[in-house]
Amino acid sequence: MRRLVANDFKLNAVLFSWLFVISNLYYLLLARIHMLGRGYTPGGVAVGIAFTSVMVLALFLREDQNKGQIIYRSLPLSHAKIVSARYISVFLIAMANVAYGVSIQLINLRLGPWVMRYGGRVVRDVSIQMDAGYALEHSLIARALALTVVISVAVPLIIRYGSLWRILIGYLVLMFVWSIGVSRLLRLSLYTGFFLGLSRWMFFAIVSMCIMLSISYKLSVWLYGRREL
Amino acid sequence: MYSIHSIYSGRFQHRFVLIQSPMKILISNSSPDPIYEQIKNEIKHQIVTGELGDGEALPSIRKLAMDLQISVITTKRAYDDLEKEGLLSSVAGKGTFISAKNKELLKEKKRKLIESKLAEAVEAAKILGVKPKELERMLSLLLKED
Amino acid sequence: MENVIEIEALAKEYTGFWLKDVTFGIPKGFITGLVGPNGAGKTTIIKLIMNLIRREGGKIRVFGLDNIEHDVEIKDRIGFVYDTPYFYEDQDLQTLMSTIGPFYSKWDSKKFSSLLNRFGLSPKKKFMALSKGMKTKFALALALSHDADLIILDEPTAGLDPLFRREFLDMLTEIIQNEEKSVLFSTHITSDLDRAADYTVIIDNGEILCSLWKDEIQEKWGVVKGREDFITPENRILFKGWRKHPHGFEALTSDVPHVRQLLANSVMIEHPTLEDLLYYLHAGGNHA
Repeated sequence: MRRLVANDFKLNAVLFSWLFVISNLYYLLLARIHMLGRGYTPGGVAVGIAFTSVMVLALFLREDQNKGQIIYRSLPLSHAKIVSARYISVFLIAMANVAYGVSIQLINLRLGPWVMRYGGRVVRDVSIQMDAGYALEHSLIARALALTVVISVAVPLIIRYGSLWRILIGYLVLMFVWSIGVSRLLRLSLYTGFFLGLSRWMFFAIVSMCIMLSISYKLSVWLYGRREL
Repeated sequence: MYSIHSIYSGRFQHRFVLIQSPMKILISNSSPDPIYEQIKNEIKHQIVTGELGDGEALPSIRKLAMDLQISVITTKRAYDDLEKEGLLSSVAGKGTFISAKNKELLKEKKRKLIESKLAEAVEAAKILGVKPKELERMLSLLLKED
Repeated sequence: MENVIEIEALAKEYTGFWLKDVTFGIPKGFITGLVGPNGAGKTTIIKLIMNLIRREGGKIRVFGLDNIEHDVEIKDRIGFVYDTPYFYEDQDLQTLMSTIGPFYSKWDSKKFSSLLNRFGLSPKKKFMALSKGMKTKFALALALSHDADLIILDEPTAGLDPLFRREFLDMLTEIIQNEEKSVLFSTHITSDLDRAADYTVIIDNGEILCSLWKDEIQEKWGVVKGREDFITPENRILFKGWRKHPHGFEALTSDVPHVRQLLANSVMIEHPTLEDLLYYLHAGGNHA
């Protein structure tokens, strides 16, 4: 499985690099991008997610173009392995881009004036809070949950519907969901108390992430098996 | 020891050229005989003329097929048929060998071969208008040369 | 005779095409040809064997194992060469090898390197810079470098020059020098199989027309040629297809000895090529 994941990066290294550069240029030139939705403006994490979506989309589409799946399906690889490797690749891409987005945001903070243009809502110190009025971990968890929802829904969708338009529409819908979802989840987090010293919210978040991912994974493997090449 | 044979049979001419061990086989795609028949005939011929001796090893069916660029089924059929006729024996793990079990049969075959060649010569002489006396003279000349 | 692949009552339907009740076996240790015109179902059968598409009925057993249940186990022992090269074009051969080879348990990279060498391919070359023949050679090198017990080829020689085609077929013969290995070769270029195939399965329009050993074709099948129509109600059973043309009459028979006995001097009998078989057996077998 490690090799499958490595393959995804090895074979698409050039593509990812280009997409990374282009995405950066896009955000630099059009500095103020307000995602759809009310009361929420993208921070470093959202930017990272946007980069990720472009790369993941390209990864799947390029493979479709090259019919790379025919090779994998002819090799001694189980569907489960192929699909899990893909989930891992997607997460790695997401983590890398989110880390990048957050570090850019940190750098922006240092530079002060950039913050105004980048976010809209001024966050003085990201280590205290990402969203005003919320604990840092609540913000992070809300984003992680939203990301999980996005991935859980997106991957099976892409596996099921290989065509470009369907995927794009699916992604737009999901970005919409992301921008609304994070704020909804943040508000939800306020209504949990503490249980045995652990935040019930964190507990809830971790459990639902696991459940979502395993359902999504099972669904993906099944859909993948039904896919005809 | 090289020999050049030419057998004239009907409209088709088979030519064996430069036969020397290891066994060499020539096959024709335009002959009406199936290829495995041709192989059988060539091997039988070589047994009868003594070019393939008793106990001599033959190439495996697959090797022969590869060398002649034909199907292994063809060589298999030829070897199987010859084995049934008692001219080959295959030892598991060792290979296929000439088995001249039926010495009498071989002798008979040798005689038949000479007879048929002589018959052909007689036939050819008739067609070409060579008189029997002339034919006899040709034969004694050839015999004297040896 | 042991079969490396057993196919029983296989069924698959697409719009406008369906595979009906296909049953045959691929014998172990030989080169088997799957012949038929374009669209006959050859690629569909191969995709079904490789589990790239789902079957709608019937069974497929490879190495004695169900091909869906033991999917991974079976594929470890299969080397495949498809007609369209499905590799990433902008990568070099070395990289492509490293993304595919190591998944096989018996992968032998030394063997692969020496095969590339033998085929005259440089590992640094980019895939898109290769000609069709070289791309096929690359795919073959991959297929032969993990001690596969079964090599499956789907139209590998389409678009190859005749010189290389010969070389290619010779390579296949080399493979089956080991009688534990088998080759399945699907193509519509019948002349390739005339030379190389030990066993041939003829398919047309989703149905298996017949399956024949090489010696059967040589011994029992023939193209019978005569000046007049020589088919009578009594001997009709001997013929599988016929063609009438301005200068005479031709028919395919599966029983040459019998025909020779009955018609002897009035007809000429010739060895059929696979193309002949395909022609006369196609579409019920009559051609005006």
